[in-house]
Amino acid sequence: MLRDSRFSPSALIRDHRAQRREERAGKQAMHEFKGWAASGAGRELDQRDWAIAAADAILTIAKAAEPEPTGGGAL
Amino acid sequence: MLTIPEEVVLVHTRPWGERRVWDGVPSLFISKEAVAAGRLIELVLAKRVMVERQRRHLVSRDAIVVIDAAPTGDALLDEALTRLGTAEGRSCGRWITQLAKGSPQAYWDRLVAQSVLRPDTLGGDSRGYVADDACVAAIIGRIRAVLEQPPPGRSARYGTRHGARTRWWVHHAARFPVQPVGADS
Repeated sequence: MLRDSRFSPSALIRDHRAQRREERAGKQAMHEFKGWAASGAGRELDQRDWAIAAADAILTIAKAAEPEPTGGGAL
Repeated sequence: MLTIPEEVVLVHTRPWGERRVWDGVPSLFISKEAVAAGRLIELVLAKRVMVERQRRHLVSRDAIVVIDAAPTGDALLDEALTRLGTAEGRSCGRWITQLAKGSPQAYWDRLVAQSVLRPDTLGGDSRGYVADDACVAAIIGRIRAVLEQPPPGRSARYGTRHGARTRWWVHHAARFPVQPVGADS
């Protein structure tokens, strides 16, 4: 990534917008999983409870690992 | 199948559409917090740890608690599990900081040992490493399956320096193949 030299202001804006869209999509997918887990379709009660707790735990850990809003990513 | 932290390292090292080599300094390119969180999430999926809301005095926090100390069989995960078991009650953020130290290098070394990352020998350049195309393709395929085929222009963004957060969320969303986005529940 340090060797990328093709960035321009417009490319950075596009990147940022694309990133926000994908973040939303990723979060939506996890929330949908939680909803699916809560529905309990085809599963025993303890499995359903675990799936809900796991979805919550993963969301919490993922949020705790997010960079600061002003951060630029992995660097 | 690779574990989440292994996949995080791999996705960081091999952007789409470009053949890229690294000079063996993974900590410069890989989000160590993402790798550390991947270790914790892998332990959640293995039913070894869980997040518990704890309240102490007037402050509440999300703490990692060990629910099953049995080894998973994965040395790096078991090392994390041991550390978690000996100092309970720390917050998620604190554990991520703790486990982040050395995580990218440890997983990088493992991927090299597994030949998923290989020395780049094309052109006589042996300085860097390249990722296994099939492994990267499998990870990307799973992400795409979850996100309903994002446009190619969007997927290319994963390789940029701004892609770390994106990769993180999308990557972990992709861990749930049971519920693709848009599917009926």
